[in-house]
Amino acid sequence: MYNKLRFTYYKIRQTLVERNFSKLMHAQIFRNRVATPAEMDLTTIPLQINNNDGGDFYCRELHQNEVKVVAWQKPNTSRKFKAFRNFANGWRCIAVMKGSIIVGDVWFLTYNGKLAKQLHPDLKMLGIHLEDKQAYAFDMLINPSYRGKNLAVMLHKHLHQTLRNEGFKKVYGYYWDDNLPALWMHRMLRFHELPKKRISRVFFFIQSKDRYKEDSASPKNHNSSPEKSAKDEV
Amino acid sequence: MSTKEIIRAFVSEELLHDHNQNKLQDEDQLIENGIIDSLGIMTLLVFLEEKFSIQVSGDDLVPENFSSITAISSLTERYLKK
Repeated sequence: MYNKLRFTYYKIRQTLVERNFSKLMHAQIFRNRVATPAEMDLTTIPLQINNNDGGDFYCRELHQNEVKVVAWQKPNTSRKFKAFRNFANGWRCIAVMKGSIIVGDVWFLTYNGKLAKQLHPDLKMLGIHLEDKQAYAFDMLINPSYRGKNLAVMLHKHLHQTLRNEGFKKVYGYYWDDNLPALWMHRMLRFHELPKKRISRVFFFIQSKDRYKEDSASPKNHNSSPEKSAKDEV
Repeated sequence: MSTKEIIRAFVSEELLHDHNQNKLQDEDQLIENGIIDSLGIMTLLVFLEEKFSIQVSGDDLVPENFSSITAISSLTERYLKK
């Protein structure tokens, strides 16, 4: 509870400092925003040791006892408090680092015989039902100062290899259709796109609808290729 | 300047770190070499839309269409013919 309050405090403070209030509100209140859930078959990835050939940057799994030790650089300091909460939920984290500084991180939860302590609310919103040997990746962030270096792809590849080496078969994720960098990253990584969802949100109240059930009488493009799925988003 | 030359000049100038236009070949792999990443694609799309007055649709936003200067040029010319 204390960590959640601290996280909220830092998030609001950061928003005020950056004068990003409208951005924060945009993330909390919206109507009919289109999301594309996506999945990746991990069995196509060869089993191999995760190598870190990103030059100055390297990826590794971050553990709960390290949260206070590693350096969370501005403006991502609020992530530290989010990390306390996420670890408490039984979720895991892969971080991309430069020395001892975290420059980006992605979170994931797994179903490996048993589920994580707490399911992520996105799963219900996206209609994803995790089964054994499946994982859900979410909430990736790269520090703005380090963007444009392909670190997001590096981070995800490391995550996929980690899951693959642990015997996982599938990983899910999603992106908002209006988030072009995220769309591009999922397509570069060859995610298979699932039927789109229309999401409406007012803070904690989230409503999700299958986009095509409303938009069209014909069930075209369901389980289609990325190219076909994207056709209706424009 | 041809479409291909305009695109090559832009990619060299804006996305290639050392700005050396002569280095960049038409068939060089832009995605595999990390020249077009998730931010690079945004910069490139804005340029294509402004320079050629085209609107690239979502179903064309696939790596195959942006893998090389030749691929981007073919995509652009396809839109210009529409």
